[in-house]
Order: sequence, then structure tokens, then C-alpha cells
Amino acid sequence: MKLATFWIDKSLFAVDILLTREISPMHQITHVSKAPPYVLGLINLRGQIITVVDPAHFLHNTPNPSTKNCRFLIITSNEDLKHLKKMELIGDVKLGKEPLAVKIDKVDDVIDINEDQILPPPSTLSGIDREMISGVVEINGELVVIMNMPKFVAKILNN
Amino acid sequence: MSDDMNDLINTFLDESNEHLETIETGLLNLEKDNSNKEMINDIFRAIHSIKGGAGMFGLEKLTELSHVMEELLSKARNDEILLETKQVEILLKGSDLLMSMFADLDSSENTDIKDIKEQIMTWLDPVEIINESDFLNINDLDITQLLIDFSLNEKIIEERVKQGIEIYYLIVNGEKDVFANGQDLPQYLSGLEQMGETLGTIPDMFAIHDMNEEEQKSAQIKIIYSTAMDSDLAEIILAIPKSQFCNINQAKDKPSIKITTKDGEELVVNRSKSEKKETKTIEAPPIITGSTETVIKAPTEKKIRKKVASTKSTSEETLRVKVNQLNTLVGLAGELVLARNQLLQVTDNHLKSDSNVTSLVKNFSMIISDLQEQIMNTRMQPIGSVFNKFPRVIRDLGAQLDKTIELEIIGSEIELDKTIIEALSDPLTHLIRNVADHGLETPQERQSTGKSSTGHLQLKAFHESGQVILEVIDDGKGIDPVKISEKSVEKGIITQEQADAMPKEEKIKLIFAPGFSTKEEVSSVSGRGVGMDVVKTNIEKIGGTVDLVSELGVGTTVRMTLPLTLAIVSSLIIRVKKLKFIIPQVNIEELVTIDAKNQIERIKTIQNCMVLKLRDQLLPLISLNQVLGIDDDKVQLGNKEKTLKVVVVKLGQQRIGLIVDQIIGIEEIVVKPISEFLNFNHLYSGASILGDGDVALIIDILEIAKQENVTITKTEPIINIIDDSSSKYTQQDLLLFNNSNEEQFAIPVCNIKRIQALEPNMVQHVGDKEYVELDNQTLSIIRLENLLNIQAPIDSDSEENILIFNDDNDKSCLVIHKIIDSLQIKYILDQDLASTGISGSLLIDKKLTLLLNYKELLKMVN
Repeated sequence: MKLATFWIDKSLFAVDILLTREISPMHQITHVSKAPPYVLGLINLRGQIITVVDPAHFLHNTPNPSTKNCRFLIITSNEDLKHLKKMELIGDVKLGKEPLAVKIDKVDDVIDINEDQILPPPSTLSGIDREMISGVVEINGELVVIMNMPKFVAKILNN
Repeated sequence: MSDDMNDLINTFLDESNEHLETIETGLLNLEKDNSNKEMINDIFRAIHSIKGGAGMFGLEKLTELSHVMEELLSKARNDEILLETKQVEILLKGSDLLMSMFADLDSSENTDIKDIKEQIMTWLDPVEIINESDFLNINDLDITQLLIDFSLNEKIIEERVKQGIEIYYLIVNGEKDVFANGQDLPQYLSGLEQMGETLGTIPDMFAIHDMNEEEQKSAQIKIIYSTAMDSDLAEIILAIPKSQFCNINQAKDKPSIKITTKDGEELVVNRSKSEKKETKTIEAPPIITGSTETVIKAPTEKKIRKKVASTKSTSEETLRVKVNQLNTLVGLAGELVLARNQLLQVTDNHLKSDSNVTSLVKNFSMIISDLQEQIMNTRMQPIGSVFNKFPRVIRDLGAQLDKTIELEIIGSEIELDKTIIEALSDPLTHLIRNVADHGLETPQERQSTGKSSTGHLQLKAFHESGQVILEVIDDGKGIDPVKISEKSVEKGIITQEQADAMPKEEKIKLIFAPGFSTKEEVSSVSGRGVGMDVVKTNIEKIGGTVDLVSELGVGTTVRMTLPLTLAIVSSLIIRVKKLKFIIPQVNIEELVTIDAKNQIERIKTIQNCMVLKLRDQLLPLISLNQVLGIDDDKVQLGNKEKTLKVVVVKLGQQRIGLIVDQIIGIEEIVVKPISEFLNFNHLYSGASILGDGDVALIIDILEIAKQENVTITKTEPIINIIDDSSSKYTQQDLLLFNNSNEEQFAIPVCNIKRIQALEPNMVQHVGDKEYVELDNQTLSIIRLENLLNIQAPIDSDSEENILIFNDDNDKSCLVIHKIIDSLQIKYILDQDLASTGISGSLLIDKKLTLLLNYKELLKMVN
């Protein structure tokens, strides 16, 4: 499987590339008042209004309020997943009805791994919301935390 | 099940639901006029289509039920039976049952259809008369010879038999089997094609298509047909008795043609039973796969299809499109309009001198406007889709309540946006139920008051000045203003004093107040604690208004005004701190600025709530900054630097002032629903992308009022009490303005749609006329000094505004210079200075003011 890897603060994370739509540069964010702290606001992505969230709140990294130089990892919607499911590229995965933008600090790479390379999250990995990660993988001596996007999206929807 | 199959089933469901609607409407009409042949035909065709589809998917119960219903209708068509109330009743029950089976297709096979089926069967002839000459016996058939007759290759049969597909040999009589069912032969054959494959016919397809009606009727057609249906289903679908067809692949299985079984008929039945399970697993009708017969058939088939198509093309051609796809298209069209507006802004600023570019952009702009309009039209649906369910509702309610009610529907063809149509269903149902339950009297009551015993209810839709008006008119007992006001006082909705001062037209409108319900006990029909206020809120939610007129003993009219479309809404853009927000223009009553010196006097604080004194009324004042929680700044009054900007919005009869930091302007916006990721927060009803590409949220005024505990109707008198003794006075809201420094003019506020600043670069000259483009409309500019004998402004650079009249048919606007004030006054008009365009004069603050008559002004221009 292919993973997109990216930096949030000083940690390296990864997400199944099939669940992502694109990585978009910084847009003007419209702040939504009275929203939970992890909702940064709304952006206009080519005519589509997309909610931006800061995953740092769930991954227990220090949230960085600055959106300078950041990127948005656009997570696909259920609608887009239909095609993938039809082509049997993906199992029964559920995301949101509409795309979601996740604020990341830096794009890293796209890596190709075998599923058996994925290790269960080490018990030393404290602090992180465990259900938000599906495992870790070691790439060039560096531990990459694989985010469980469906769980992440569900968490935001249920908050 | 494969996706393709799901698609097929969904299409079948969609179509069937449409057919069921036709059936229901038709049956209700038959109740009134049971000799209406055309109606019977319509119902027959609809049920026939349902039967066909159900057969194709192997839904046996659906097929059986629709089959008996069809049989009964077929009899009615042939004048063998007259459809009386009891037959219509049972057919309605049948269609209800079908509907519930469609609602849960998976368990439809377990539905108990026996009762209804048997009841219908009692009207059908118990035994079909079998024409002996048609009787087919498999023993007598020489299959090999048959295949030669049909010039069919045995392989074709074998291939299909291997796939478990049945091959039937059938004999169809033109008159008895086809025309009796309202079809002709080509239609019958193309019907067969939908559920299987016709391998061959004698005479051949060409000959059949060339027959005239008489020839067709007398013709006997032999067909070899392959399909997945077992013989029980086939009997129903092929619409011929079992005796007229037989299963030949079974014969084909045997090496010898001479079959030892005594009775061919029985053989067919037995076999089909043993194979039922097998046939069910085949999900789709066979598609032509073999190459041999396609080669033979190709040239003929095309021609035949064409012919069939041409006979069928009497109805308008339509295409099913997914609503989602349409919504995307509407969204994109909206974006296109926004992008165009941005482009116009840029070209206006930078490329004005280049006439080539400007004309290109103009052209482009027009095309986009047209495109957007057309795309919006695709979402339009006739209001009939909502109206059509009411005949049934009324019929059932009438029976339940023991009232005879006649429903008249006018204007079913009026089209509205799909979203609005959908949103109308609930409030309308509520209204109609209300009328049937409370509005209309029992036949006895009606007769005792000298009315006809039948209650009349009219549902009427029509266009009026760019909007759609919907009226629910009844001739019932009307609403008693005295009872209503008593109840309202009792419930604390108004005070006794307010009630006493209220004219009766206003009193009856109190039934729209929240928490109002006159019926003591909740009845099973309406009531249930949901009042007219919900109707009103629902209609207002889609940008409409509700009004009510009622006369005691004569009847009630509820009048709803609805916008044509929802997707594009004219809205006010405001700024609070650094954020832009959108307030839909339908909510806005007026904009007020209060400068520092007036603030202390006009804004009071009562129990921590700010109120604004506006023309002798107090209205609650809410700081948007505080409600939306943007920052902790409090509103400071009397700050010399700051004039306070207030947007007065209306919520039913209530008005609320919202304090904002800046009023940016009016924009046409495309409303997008609020993201599911933001559902924690109900302050916003949607979002949109503004002309500059920024995202802005649409404020939900109702929700804001709720959060701030502004209870509707309690804080102020609902109406202004007009002293009757002063009836020679006119009381009106007037806008005062200057043209030059000297003369002061007034125009009634109700004639004004809006006012906006006129930038010199907005004006375009054509000949000696001036035009300005606003909201994609070109308005001609009227200058007062050109029409009336008055002074022209001395300093042409001074502040200029344009005033747009509240008249959708008119495409002009009036230049006014300085706006002086807007006030409500009582006055007597002095006619001395009256002339064309001027209704008269009055003194305001000792200053002579000319009151303009805008209608006359417009006439003078044209």
C-alpha cells in the first residue's frame, strides 16, 4: 500500500494515500466563531467550501495556531470512496459526506510498504489518542505513525 | 447483487412510484366519473408497466397482485364491469399494498396479498375460456421442424438451455391477446424484448410492422421467445393463457420428439416448479450474446426499433438525471456567476479603455446569465407533485371525519425549485388537515347555516410579480377573531389592552403565534401540539411569507408567497470585527445608523438587554459580536468616533436590531449547506463564497433570536394603533431626500426596494440616456430635474444615490442626492402644488416637502 507521509510539528505521520484527495497550499481561512478549538475554519477550495481541522489537538502535539507555511491535506469524501470500492482498491471504509482539510506542517514523501511492515503502536507511544492510529512503520530508521483516518473523521463528526 | 442490477432496480422503483401516483390519482378521479375511459386506460397502462417490471425481477407477489388489478381494469376497459366505489376502494387498497411492498422490496415476497387478491378475483371470471384451436400440446410439436420454420439454429437454443434460460413457443392472437389489452402488435413485441429475447417470429418482424390495424387484429403470430421467467410468471407477463405457449427447451432436452408424458400442459408446469429456484438466480434478462443471430438480426432489428420508437414518441422525451449531479451543476453555475462577477470587477478597474475586451466580457457575461438560468430551470418541478397527494388525503380525511369535502386544484403546472417543493409538503399537509378538521363543518352544520352540505377546499397556485402565490381557500366556518383574541390573552401572548386595540384582521393572525392552538383537545387528524406557527416558520425558512384572511361563517384563505428558487439569494454582506457574514435580504427590514450624540437617547438598557427606540417602537438590540462570540468587546455607547450600525431584521411580526461593524453591500450569493463537520453550531444556516473568493457564513436570524431569548411577539405591540378620529390623516413611512440643496422631497418607503450609492463609473451613456447595471439588470436612470420643473443639483459631484422602486416590472431607478431622514408621520396632503408626478405637498419640520408619485414619474419617463 502507498502512504503519504507528512510532518505535524516534529513528528512524522502517514495516511493511506487512497483516502487523500490532494495536498493544497495555504488558503485564506474563514474563522467560525463558537467552534471547538480544533476547527480552524473554512476554506474555498475551487468553489467548494471545506472545513479545516487541526489534528494536533487529537495527536497531542502542541497545536500551532499559526497557519503560515502550512499545507492542507484534503481527505476524500464517501462519494469519492465509492469509486475506489467499486474497483476493490479499498474495503468498507467510511469518511465524511464531504471532504475535510487537515492542517499539516510539511509534506514529506510517498512511500510504498507491505501491510506486514506495519507494527502495532508501541506501548511507549503515550499521549496520542490510540484509536486514532492504526500502527507504526519504520522507514529509514524513522518511526512513522499511521493515522487511522476513518476514526479521525468519525471523532470529529461525533464531537 | 451487482451495481448494474441495483441501478436497474432503482430505476424500476422510481418508475413504479410514478406509476403508483398515476394509479392513485386516476382511481380517485374514477370515483367521481367511473365512465372515464381515458382514465381507466391510464391506470391500466401504469399497472401493466408495474407488472412487467416486477416480472422481470422475479418479484412474484408484486406480479400476482398487479396482475389481478390489471385484469379487473381490463374488464372495466372492455365494459364488462363498471367500477363502482367498492371496486375502486379495493383497487386503492391494492395500490397502497403495492406501495408498501415497493417501500420494502426485500420483504415484499412475504407480504400477504391473499385478501385483496381474492376480493378482486370475485369480480373476475373464474375460468378463462380456452380456445381449443389455440391449445398447444408439446406432444404435437415437431421441434426440429419448428426451428427450421423459424430459421433458427439449434445451437442458439442449446446455448440458452445451458444457461438455464427457458425457451417458449407461443401463439399470439392479434385481436384477443394484444388489442384487448390496449396494445398493438409492435408494442407487444417490444414489450417482450424488455423481458427477454425474441428469437424469431412468423410472420417475420418486417411483415408484422407493415400490417395495418385490421390485419394485425386478425393475425396469429407464432413466436419463439427466450426468457428467465418460469411458466407461471410467463403466463402473466406474456398476457396469454398457458394453453397458448409451451416450453420447448424441455422438449429439446429429450433425444426423441415423441414425449411419453400424456399431458403436455402438466409437464410444463411440473418442470417450471422444479426449476423455480434455478431461474430465480438469474438476475437479468438475457442479453444478446451469441454472434450468429446478431448477424442475422442486426439489419432488421434496427429498423424495427426505430419504428417502435416512432410510435411511442407521443409523450415528451425526458432523461433521468441524478439529483446530486444536478445540484453539482447548479452549484457550478453559481460559481460561474461569481467568477464572472470577479472578472467584471477586474475588467472594470483595469481594462475599461479596451473596448474589445469589454464587449467580449459583456457577451461572456450574458451567456453565463443564460446558462445559469437554464440550469436553474432544470431543478424546477411542477407544484403538482405536492398537490397530487392531497386528493387522497382529503378523501381519507372526509371518510374519517364524516364530512363531504370537495377539493379543487388549480395551477398544478406552476413550477418551483425542487427544494421548495419538498419543503412545502409538510406545511401544506398540516394546513389541509387543519381545514378538513377545524375549518370545514359537518354536513349537518353546513346545512343548518344554509350552505351546501359539501365543503369546498381550493388549492391554488399562480404567479404574481416574480413570485409564486399559493392559496388554500375553504368555505368553512371561518376564524372567530373574538375567540382567538380571548385565547391569546389567556395564554399570555398579548395583553387585554393590546387585544382591545387590535382590529379583527390582526386578531385572526394571532393563530400564527407560537404556542397557540384553539382546539381544546388534540384530535387525531390535526393538532398534535403542532400549530400554525410551525407552518409559518417552515414557509419562512424557504424565504416565503404567510398571510391569512378569514370571514366568520364564510371561509378562510391562507395565502403563501414563495420565491421561485432558493439557490441564489440576494443578501446583505456585513462585517463584524474582521469577519464577514451574510444576512439574507428577505430577513432585512431596514438599516439604521445612529451617531454618537443620539445613542444615549435612543438606546436604553432594560435588565441587561439593550433596546433601540425606533420611530416610537422599542426593539431588542443584539450585538452580533457578542452572540457570535468573536471577542469580548462590549458595545460602547456615545463614543464620538463611532456611529452605531444596526441591521433591523424581521422575524414574523417581531423586529430585532443587530449591531454590526460595517455594512459592506448587497450580493447575490449561492447558498451552500453548512458542513456536517460544523453541526455543533446552529448559529449559521449555510455558507457561501463571496465575489472576492472569501468564504462567509450565513447568519440564522431565528437561531440568534432564540439564543438571546428574544421571544417573538411579546416585546412590542404587534400593530400600530391608528386613531380612528384622525382618519383624514394619512399615516405613512416616508423617505426624505434632497435633489438640490433647496427642495425637499418625500417618497413612501413602501415604494422603495432599495437605495444604494451611485459611483460615477457605474453610469453608462446611450444617446442622451443614462443606464446603470445592477444585479445583472440594466436600469435606466431617472433624474428628477429632467421630469419636473425643479432645480438641478448645482454641484454635480455631490453625494449621489440611486433609489430602486419596489416594482419588478420596472427597469428604472431614480437619482437622489442627499438622504435626509426616514420617518413615520401622519399628514394631510396639500394639493396646491400637485402636478403630474407630484401627489402634493406637506410640511415636515416647517420645511415644504413634495411627495412624489412614483407611478406617474415612471409613466412620464416611458
